[in-house]
This record gives sequence, structure tokens and C-alpha cells, in this order.
Amino acid sequence: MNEEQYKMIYDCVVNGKVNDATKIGESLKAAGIDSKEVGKVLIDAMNNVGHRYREREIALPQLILATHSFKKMLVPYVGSSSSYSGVVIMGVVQNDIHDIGKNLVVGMLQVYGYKVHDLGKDVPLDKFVEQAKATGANIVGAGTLLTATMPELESILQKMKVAGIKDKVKFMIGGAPITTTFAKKIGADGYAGDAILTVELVGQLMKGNQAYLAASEGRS
Amino acid sequence: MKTRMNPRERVIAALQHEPVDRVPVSGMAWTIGAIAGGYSTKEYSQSGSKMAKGQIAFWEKTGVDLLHPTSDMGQTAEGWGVKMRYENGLTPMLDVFAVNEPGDWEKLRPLDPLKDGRMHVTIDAIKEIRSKLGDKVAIMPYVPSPLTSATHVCNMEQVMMDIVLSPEPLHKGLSVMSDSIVTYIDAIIDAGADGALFATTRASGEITTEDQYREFGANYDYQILKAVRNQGGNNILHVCGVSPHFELLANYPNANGVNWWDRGSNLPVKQAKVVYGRKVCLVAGLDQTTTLILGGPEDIRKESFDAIEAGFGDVTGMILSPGCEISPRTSFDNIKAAVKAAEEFGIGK
Repeated sequence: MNEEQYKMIYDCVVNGKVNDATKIGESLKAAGIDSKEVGKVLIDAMNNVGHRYREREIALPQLILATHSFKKMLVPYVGSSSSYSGVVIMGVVQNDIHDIGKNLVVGMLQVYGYKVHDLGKDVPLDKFVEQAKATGANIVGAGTLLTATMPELESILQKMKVAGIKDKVKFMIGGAPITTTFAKKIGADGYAGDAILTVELVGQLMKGNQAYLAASEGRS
Repeated sequence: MKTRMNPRERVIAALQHEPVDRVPVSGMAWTIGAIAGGYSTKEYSQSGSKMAKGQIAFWEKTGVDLLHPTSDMGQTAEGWGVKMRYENGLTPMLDVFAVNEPGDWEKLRPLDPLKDGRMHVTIDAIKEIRSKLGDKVAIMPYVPSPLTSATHVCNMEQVMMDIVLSPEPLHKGLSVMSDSIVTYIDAIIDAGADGALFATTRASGEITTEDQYREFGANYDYQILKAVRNQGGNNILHVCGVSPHFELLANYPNANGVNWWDRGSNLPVKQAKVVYGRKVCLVAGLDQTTTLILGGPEDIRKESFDAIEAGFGDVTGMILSPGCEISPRTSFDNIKAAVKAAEEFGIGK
């Protein structure tokens, strides 16, 4: 990859040029650039975006556009990768349709090399367990924005135990009302306060560790 | 200051930074009113009388000073064409959005609060609560700001993208929604409410930058708060998130209170009191995500005392409150414990 191509990818993601992304991806593939090389630049770019988001220099609109940009750029490469860093099930619990955070997490994990099975929003609790078994997932991730549906997260964990997969599969949770205190109380292996932190969390879980990463120092 | 104030006087005085006989308490009870009244959430959200009875039942069970007769986001959003889904015991959910592409923003039309959506449910509930309880309670229903409403009529992800990619159509939609919200606030005041719990929910750094919120949020919020019938500051801003744009919110016109999730954000009550305590009434202190659903009355007593000591040193300018709507699974005894703690603390030593 030459410097111009690097800059083109980086600029597209950092500046959220979502309408140019697919065309750039196609041109890179046509030029013989493989997906791993593109992925490395995407990680550089998302590290920049993630840092600026955490510093509150940018906010959700730019983060979403950056995520859409890299996902679109990778469209021409879909199916070309044969190895993944891990397999993750992601979904928003039943009776909750707030999926913006989950969508960001899915995008972030994909660019960092994980195979993500996105179950979507309003997902029946049994489906998390069924899909974890069917795909041989390393991690089940579930989220909710609503205080009313927070108890569903604990129910998923119980279902994983009943199904006999909890020893093999880590369970992580997230969503605006979730805190470290809540995550530990219900017995989740991990919690991340935002999509950027989820990448770090998944890395820890894949090593067999537990981790609780709050987005704000005030949250516990 | 009167030795013993009624709840309505207590809430208004706290908002006006006048001395109070104890810190007033809100339970942020919206959907849980259905459970308190023994109704399904669908019944509660579609009948002013049932909403009123549910809210009154919550008041009887807990003794709070401030009620927010509200059921769900669809009360206004349905007027613009959103379809809701009802699951008993849960807040009704946005199911089908009305705005699905940028051009749809321009199709939104002004609403009549007495006819469109389910705003009339809250209006009718206010009349009945005021008629039955008089000054025994202050009333401030949830009213979504234009940018908050935008994320009710359209997928939030799309709204966030429209801020950057399609700002002009979005502005047109926000403008139409602003006019409707002015008429809604006027209608709730006419019905007997003391003000609005005005939801500026997207005014937080992890959602919008301060500049973005100024352009797409505060710009319209200001126009509304300056235009509504109730002037004098008896409105409370409600913000979600971990990095609220508090400096911006503290300088809003005609809104003396700010409600935020102090236990989960980067701004605890103690710090907010020091920096903003003279400008705004702090409406916070109870953690709806942890203590209120996982703890018991003694935990609530401790959390209440901690908050009151941090935010009530000048014997005004605070309403003890959760940072957002409480879960329908919250124990009534826990809210009652917060009221008891406020009474026990009184005006302090």
C-alpha cells in the first residue's frame, strides 16, 4: 500500500466520508490491496476517532459516520477473511429497541478482527444462548438502554448456566444505565461504558480475564 | 419561610432558590404509575383518569412532593405518525418510526395537544390530580424537546447522521416540532401543571458536542422556553448521559432546575453545587440504576443523606430525585425511604 492509499483510507474514516467509502474499498481491492492491510489502516483511523471521542472532541454523529465509513469500505472484502480473533454474539435484549450503541460495538469489533453475529434488537433471551452454542462463540454480549429491562441481562446469564456453556463462554454487558456495580452484582464477566472501551474489554475477556471499564470516572 | 410548607410551595421555593422546610422529593415516576394504580401500561397510557389514579396511588404509597404524569415517548411522537408497542409492566416502546429518510422531516406537521397523539392523556391527568390533591403535590409532566422528539420520530442513528449529512431537512423538522411543543406546554399549564420536566436528553458530550447541541438543540429549546405561557423559571431540564453540557443547561432561560444522573455522570452533586448551585436547582441524588433497584430502604436513607449533605447546604436549590425515570420494578418503599430521609434531615444542623 502506498502513502496515498493509506491517507485515502485514513481520511475517509476520520472525517466520516461515508458516501465515498465503498468506492474507496473497491479501488483498493482492484489495486490488489488485501483486507489485512486495509484493516491495519482502519484500526489506526479508528484509534484516532476513538481517542477524540473519549476526549469529547467529537461526539456520536462523527463516531457513527466513521463506523459506517469503515464498514462500507470493507464491503468489497466481505467473505475474504478466513481467520478471526474471536467470535462474539451481540444483541439488545427483548423489549428494548435502542440499538445505536450495539451497532457501534459490532462495527468496532469487526474492524478489530472479530467475527460478530449481530442478533439485532428486541432479541428473545433464549436466542443469545442458542446462537452462542450454534456458533461456538467465545463471548456473548448483551445490552439495554432501559432500566426496566436491566434484569433481562441477569436472566441471560442464568440461561447460559442452565445450558452448560457459562464455563466456556464469557458474558459481557453494556448500555447507558449499566454500571460496574450492576455488572458485578449479577455476575457478568465484563462491562464497558462505550463502544471504544468494548474493544479493550473483549481483548481482556479473550485472555480469560474479567474487566469492568467505566466510561466516566464518576461511574461505579 | 413557613415552618411547614405544603409540597407545591416546597418544590417552587426550591426552584426559586428560596429557603424550604426540607428538601423536596421527586420519584421520577412515569410508567410505574400504572403498577401503583393496578393498571396495564396500555390502559394507563391511554386514559387520563387512569394515569391520574396511578400517579395519585404512587403519591399515596411514597409521599413524594413532585409528580410527573407521563407514560411514554409516544404521547407526542404518535401525533407525528410513530407506532408504539405495548408490553405489560414495561414502558411502551417506539416500534415504527415516522421519519425514515431526510426528506420525511419536511412532512411533519404542527400538532394540536388536545387532539393529536396522546398528549391529552397527560392534560386530563393533570386536571384530575390537581382537582383531587390541590397543593399537596407539585406537577411537572415530561415534555420532550425538539431534538429529543426527533429521536422519537426517527431512529437515533439516522438523526445523528442527519446532523452532519442532512442538516437543512432536520432543521425544518425541528422547527415544526418546536411550535407544537410550545402549545403542549401551554396546555399543561392551563390544565394546572406548575411547569414542565423538559427533556433535553441529547445535551451530553457522548451524544452531541456542545456546538452541535447549541445548533440542533438549545437553539430550539431557547425559543420554546421564551415563548411558553409560564415564565419565571419553574421548569426543570432533564438530561441523560455521562457528560452533560451542564454549563449550557445552567444558562437556559426560564428553567431553574436541572435533572441529571449525578451518580453515573462526571458531575456529582457536590461539585455541581459548588459550580452551579447559585444558578440552578439541582434535581438529583438517587441512583435509579443501582441503589433504587438493588438496594433497600436503609441504602436509600444513606444515599439520600449523602446527596442532601452535598447539595442542600444553603437550605434550598435542591430536589432529591433519581436521575431519570425509575424502573417499574423499583420498590415503593425505597422511594418512601427517600422522603423519610428528607424529613429526618429537615434543614440540617
